[in-house]
Amino acid sequence: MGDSAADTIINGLSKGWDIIKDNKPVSSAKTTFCQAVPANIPFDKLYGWKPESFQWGFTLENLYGITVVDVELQLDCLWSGQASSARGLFLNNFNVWCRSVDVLFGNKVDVDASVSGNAFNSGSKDAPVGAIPLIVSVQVSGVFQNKAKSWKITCHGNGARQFT
Amino acid sequence: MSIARLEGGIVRNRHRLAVAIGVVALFGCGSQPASQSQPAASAGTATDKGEVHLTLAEFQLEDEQGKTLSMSADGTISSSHGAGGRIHEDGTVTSPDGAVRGRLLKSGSVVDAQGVERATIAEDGTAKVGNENLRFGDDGKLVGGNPAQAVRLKATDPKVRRTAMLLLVMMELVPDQKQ
Repeated sequence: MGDSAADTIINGLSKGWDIIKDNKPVSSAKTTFCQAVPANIPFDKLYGWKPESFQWGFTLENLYGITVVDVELQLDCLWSGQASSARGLFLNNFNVWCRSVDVLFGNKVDVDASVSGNAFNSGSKDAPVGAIPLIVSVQVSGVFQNKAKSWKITCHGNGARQFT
Repeated sequence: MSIARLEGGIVRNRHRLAVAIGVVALFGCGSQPASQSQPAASAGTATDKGEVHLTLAEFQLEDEQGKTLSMSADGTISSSHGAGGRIHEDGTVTSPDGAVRGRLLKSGSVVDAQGVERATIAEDGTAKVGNENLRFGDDGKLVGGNPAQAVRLKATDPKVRRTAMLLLVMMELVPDQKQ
């Protein structure tokens, strides 16, 4: 690793995408990404990427006692990207996509992801860590009422992750 | 909005986090059903037969996405996940496992398994859920509710509208998160 630290950290990829639209998974979500990489280092000079995956989901049960919405999501990313010319750990190919969705009568489910703000340095000036917050939002449209839920997921180039 | 239930935890790599999502009122009813905090009457048990006041006849409900929910003449409920569960002539609603999930009382109150009133349904099938009034029109279309989530009732016996509304209420409302 180099003696200097990486410069500004940027997201040169997507800022938002659909994950589920009208109860159906959006296939392009699997290949739509955001990142937190240094602006002053060409991407092909970064190495040491480590893959990470995380699965979670949500269910909605009705008064009748059956599950009417069952969704499984997956987060993928590459972390620990490094450059020989500068210090720092960076993040790439961060995305969230739908593994499965099952919706019963009377409900319509939409899920989307949007980058919250900018990629940033969650480390120090001398030891930068690229990070980016992503908000995943669920909207369930029912006959009488709508339901909503969102998660803020921040992934860091050092492998840390905050999920709120 | 509140997270009603959290199953499992967040651990690295392969995990599953299940969350029952909170309810946001967008149509004036939302998570505040009618008289939600006042217990009305116990939903009872499946064997606790009450007075007959509900019409059982075949009908089908179809939503905006073409998904259907139907009831046969004996009260058996069928969805895209198969048959199971029943609506009984005394207004009791039982789930596929036989548990009593709610009941339409003769007074018109729809109570959940804990006996808490969640809605009312009049003799003509007009429902009040929270601040929202709903009914099936003569063409079978649901009047009221979310305009983006249209529902149509297909039935030959107009008396079954009240029964169909009961099924719709049981399917669309979520358990009271205060309980």
